[in-house]
Amino acid sequence: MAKTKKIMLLILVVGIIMFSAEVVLGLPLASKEDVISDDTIIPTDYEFLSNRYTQEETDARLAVNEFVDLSIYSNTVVKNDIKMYYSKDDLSFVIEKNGYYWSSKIDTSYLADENSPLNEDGDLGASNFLQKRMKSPVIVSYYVNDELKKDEGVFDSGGTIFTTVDLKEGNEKIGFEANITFAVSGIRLKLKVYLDDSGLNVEIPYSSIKDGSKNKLSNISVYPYFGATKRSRVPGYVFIPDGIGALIRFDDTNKGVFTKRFYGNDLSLAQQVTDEQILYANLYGLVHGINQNAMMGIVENGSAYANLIYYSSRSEDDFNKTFVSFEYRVVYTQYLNAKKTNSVKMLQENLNEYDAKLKYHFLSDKSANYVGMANLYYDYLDFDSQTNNNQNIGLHLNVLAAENQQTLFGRKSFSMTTVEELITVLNNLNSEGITNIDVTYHGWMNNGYSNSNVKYKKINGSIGNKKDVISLTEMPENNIYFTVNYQEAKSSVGGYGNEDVIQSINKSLIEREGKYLLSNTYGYHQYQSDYGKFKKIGISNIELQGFVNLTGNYSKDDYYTREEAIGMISKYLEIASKTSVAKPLSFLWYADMIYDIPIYSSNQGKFTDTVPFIPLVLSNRNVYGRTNTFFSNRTNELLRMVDYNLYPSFYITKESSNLLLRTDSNNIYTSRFSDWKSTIISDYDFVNQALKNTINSRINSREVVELGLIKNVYDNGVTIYINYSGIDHVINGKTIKATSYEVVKS
Amino acid sequence: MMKIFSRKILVVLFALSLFIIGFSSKTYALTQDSAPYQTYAQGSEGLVLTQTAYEPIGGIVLNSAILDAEDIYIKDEYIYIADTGNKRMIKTDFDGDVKLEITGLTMPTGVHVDSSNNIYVADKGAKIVIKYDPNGLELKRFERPTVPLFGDDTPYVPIKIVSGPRDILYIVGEGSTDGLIQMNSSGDFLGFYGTNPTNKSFWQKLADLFGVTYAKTVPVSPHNLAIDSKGSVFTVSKTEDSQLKKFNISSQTIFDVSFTYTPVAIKINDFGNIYVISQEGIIFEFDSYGNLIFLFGQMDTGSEVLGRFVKPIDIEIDANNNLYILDKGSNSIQMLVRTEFASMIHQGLINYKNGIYDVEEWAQVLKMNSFFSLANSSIANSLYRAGNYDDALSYFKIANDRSGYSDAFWQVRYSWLQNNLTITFVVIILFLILKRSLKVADHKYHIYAPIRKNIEKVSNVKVVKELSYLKKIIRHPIDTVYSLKRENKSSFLTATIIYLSFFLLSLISGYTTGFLFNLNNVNDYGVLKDSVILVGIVLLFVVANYLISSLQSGEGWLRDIYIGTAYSLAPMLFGLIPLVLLSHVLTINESFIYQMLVLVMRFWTIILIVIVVKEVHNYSIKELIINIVLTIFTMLMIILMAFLIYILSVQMIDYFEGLIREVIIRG
Repeated sequence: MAKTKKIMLLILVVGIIMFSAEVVLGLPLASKEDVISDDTIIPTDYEFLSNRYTQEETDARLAVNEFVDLSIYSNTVVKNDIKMYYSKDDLSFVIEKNGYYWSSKIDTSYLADENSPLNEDGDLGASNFLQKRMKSPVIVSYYVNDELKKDEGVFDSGGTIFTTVDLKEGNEKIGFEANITFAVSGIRLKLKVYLDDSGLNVEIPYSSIKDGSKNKLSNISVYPYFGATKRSRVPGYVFIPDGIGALIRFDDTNKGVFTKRFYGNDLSLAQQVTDEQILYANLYGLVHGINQNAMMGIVENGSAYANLIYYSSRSEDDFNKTFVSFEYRVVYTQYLNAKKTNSVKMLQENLNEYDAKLKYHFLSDKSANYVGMANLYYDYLDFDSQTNNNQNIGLHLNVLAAENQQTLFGRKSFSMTTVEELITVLNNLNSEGITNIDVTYHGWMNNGYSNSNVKYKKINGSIGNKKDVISLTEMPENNIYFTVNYQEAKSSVGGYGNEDVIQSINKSLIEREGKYLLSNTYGYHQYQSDYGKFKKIGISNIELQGFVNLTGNYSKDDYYTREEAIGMISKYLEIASKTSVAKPLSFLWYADMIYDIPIYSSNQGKFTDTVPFIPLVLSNRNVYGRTNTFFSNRTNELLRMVDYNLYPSFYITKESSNLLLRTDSNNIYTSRFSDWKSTIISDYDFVNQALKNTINSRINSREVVELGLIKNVYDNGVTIYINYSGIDHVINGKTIKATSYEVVKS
Repeated sequence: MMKIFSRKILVVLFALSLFIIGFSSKTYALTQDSAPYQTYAQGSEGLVLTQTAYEPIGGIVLNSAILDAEDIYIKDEYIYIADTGNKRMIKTDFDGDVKLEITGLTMPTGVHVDSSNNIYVADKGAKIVIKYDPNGLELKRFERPTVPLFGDDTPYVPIKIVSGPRDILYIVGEGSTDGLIQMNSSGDFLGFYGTNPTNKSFWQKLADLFGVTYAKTVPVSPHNLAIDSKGSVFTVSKTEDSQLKKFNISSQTIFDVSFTYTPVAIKINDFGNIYVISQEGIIFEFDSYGNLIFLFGQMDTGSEVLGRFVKPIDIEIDANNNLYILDKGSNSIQMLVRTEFASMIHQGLINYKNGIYDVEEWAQVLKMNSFFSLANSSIANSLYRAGNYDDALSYFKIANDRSGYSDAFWQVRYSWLQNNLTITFVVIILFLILKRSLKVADHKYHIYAPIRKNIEKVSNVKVVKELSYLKKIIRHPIDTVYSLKRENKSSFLTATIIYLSFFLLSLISGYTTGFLFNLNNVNDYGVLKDSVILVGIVLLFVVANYLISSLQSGEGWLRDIYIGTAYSLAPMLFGLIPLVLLSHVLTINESFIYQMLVLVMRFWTIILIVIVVKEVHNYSIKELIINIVLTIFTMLMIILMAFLIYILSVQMIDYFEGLIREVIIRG
């Protein structure tokens, strides 16, 4: 009896073991590789009317400034083709260029005259108080105590005094300088307005600014009504460098107020960072009359503390006004305990230290539009020339070398693309005809891309050794940039101390997305010393990452202002032979290779157009757009690349992105090279067929011919038509097919 | 096929309450979206980022401004808007021109158009539903039903309405806790439909036990509804779970989905995908079985960014599967256009529903997002249907689909058995013959002698001898305890070894239990944590029992309890590994075997522990019961104290840390 039981048990156990062994040992996974063929979504007409595209210029009216009275001006200055009239009595001026007048104030005499044609139905008019503001050259806002903020214009009360003298260059008058003391607030400042060869300068030197005895200066708004227009009397728009670039056209609707800080909000002043696109460049533009007159204001100094403000007509008064407001003092929250449950509001004690300087340039005729502004800004930035000697466009590859994930004891790194595998990929693409490839190689050092020591310790063991790296960097034609990040670090990684972390004004260490922001002093010093080590292993080109937010530092031993930070960061570009940056702010546009520039603006409801300002400025430089790997509308985005003159960029790894699920790079949901190879080649060909004809040349004009049809004219005579819409268009006998482009060589 | 489908419903009904945990949108260094919000899809371990599925392209510009509108309906080329603030219903085309305007309403909050283009307006202010013909002529008024079935106290405040086949109306009434109001085309009340269930809280159940009456729990009334092309009704309610429900014709829930957001509107498209928009600005898209496809959206922070919402209140779809969101906060209708990626997914789903099982199509989707759970489970299902069970098995595992895995596994096992059963038997018989013959040989030639000598040597080692009592305790627990206690048949060391083995075995079992029965996530440290906690509880029991027993004049020393409890873990020690092996060969159908064995094993251990306590301390039954209860109480007290100490020390550490940091920063 027992024996049969035993035998049955034995059979059962043996059967189970044999079977479970087979199952437990696992079954192989079939790998699938495929070619993409996706349906093309053709944008409906609706989409072209939205502010994600540029609109047609339909208003060809002549622009005339009807709110200027030249009779009050006795002083004039002439430089080149610009004439400036100014008055020392009310500190106003008028710029004349090409027959058009740009006035710093509004002549409000029309309000007194009922029959004046300048009054329209539905006008808000202006109270006496507002009329005085319309003449005020500056408006200061100040804190009476920690809570109460007031503002004051020069002519609000009769009591504000100012002494004005002419500014001279040799014997020639070039402008004026006024020392203003405000009556109510007691604030004093000096305002300098003068003309030079490039344009109009407006300055407020820091040394001249004094707080009132009880009132602390907060902001200074400079010539708010300079270039203001009434409702829709003057056709034109405001250009705002929001994201890739946006326009707000003057129409008769109330769009409210737009205010944004240049280069994003300042974390060191304890401001909140929004998740909208920021302003990438320190300028703004006004166009009065399409292809007639334009004005571009560049914040040469003080852009780190400047806000761009736009009031639509019918919001506060009948005028569209755009101006810059310089910030000197904020109210911030001081936390009293580590848990941040107890806090007080404090007023910043000292003024932000910088000299505010604005420079206005004036454009006419064919350059009086955003393309002209982009070309002017390009000249202003004064790049070293960068000639591309290739016949074909470049390709950018974001390659992830290694990552790490949490194991039982610490983190273990693993390779996603070894150096040898990268060389294979590059050879593979080179043999397909794509030869000048820019590679940014992430996570090649220490423990991989995330959670690695800030300082360089070693090449990551799983991707190769020094010999491999040298053979990679010695590949001809391809440029390999190795990524470093000295600006952000999680609290768990080593390589820095608490004293290297940026402190905000409320004495807390600045943290963004779980990482501490490290000081530029520390970062620069570390970068310099590490670069010596890089050279020894054959690395000379570097990609700089981590410049997520422009901040100053309130640490006692390492104090610098946000304005000074701009200079410090610009110096980073001098260390490596070639540097590349992603999503750079305008002071980093001097880098040798730029990628992942924004493709959209923040698309606020008040914007009317999106314009490709950044690619227009960087037209003949090495610029790549958004990573093609994550496109959801392939055809539309490829056409956008041809339209904006951007080259394709891909994110690839050798291994499947499945391995990244439990790492900090789990936002990469697809990347395997074998899956993407055919798309890389087809996308590259699509863009190359168009843009290989425009290498080294700049866009002269960009026109919306019809809804969904764009015409770009380059300075080497090539014209490219891009048709986003779902129907064919015929222009001058040439058919441009739906969702495609045509290259016309002159 | 039928079996799978019905199981799917079953599983969905009970287990697949999709708990979509609230997520906070992260900013990544790389730009991956073409919209001002991130789009997520279902991955194997939660939500994963994916390509933008719907892009915002702006709003519909209407020539007549709307104010506080609460409902829109799109049919053919027209948009019907319940313009609540302007007390009217307007019909416009997509260029914004008003084609029809119905005024004289009090507070229209719902609008619907049936297949003959008749317009229904639910007027909350006038508490009435009005039916108009396509030209705006009033056809019928649907007033409060007077039949007794409706109830005298039931409120009739219609806020939303849809019409189904045969012109049956389903009305959402505000405060209508019995569910939707169902009426036929003549206005006769047909009954209530689609109620939300109520849940008695633990305290209410306890109160019921003692006969105490609590205030009645009233179910929440549904908030909004939609109807699909087949006539099934879907509701969304602002409840704590099961916010989305699908009903069949007899008002039974076919499935429900839970998430941690507050839904305000729902719409079904022509191939059965479900769209829900929540108050927090999040839009969900589910397939017709309730599986999440996409999740996206974000609230506006004041700058009226295109694609973000101020106060979303309704969602609609047009014939091209573009989405329309009615925003009460900005008085606009925003349009979101479907991207190529989303239409690829939709095409795959349509094909799947029509019986076209194309693995290549879904493999393409996987290429674009290797975490996409829906692709993996669709490939798995397609392979299954094609008879490719081995590959289907691995895809089901990646997709975390246990019921599919079970079906495929059944097939694989069946074919294995068919192929290999004879061989297995042959091998076993040969093995038995071999064993027999070896035994005979041993009898004659003593070939086993060296092995026997070694075994004897080993079994004479003290620890091994003591461990042999593990076998004895299963059969003769009381005798064994006596031996352990009185005759010192075991030692501290052995008991500790037993505890360690128990820890290791439960760790191993946590990691290696077969996929079907293993609900642990084998990749995080939950298993390690669970094992540590388990052993901790056992040891805590030992300590607590000793403490209580010494107060209760028990005879046993700490040593006795320690050793005794160790030995009572014997069933678990012997049972864990075989159970692991068993878990690899059973399917969900046979899960009762596995569950029962697990239960027996645990129950047996607990019985043994109780016996150990009784015998070690020499208690009577009454004393035993008191002892057990007090031991459990002591365990809870110890845990509570430890917790208090932990919290206080955290506070103290925090304080000192803050102090030191301040000194460093200011110093």
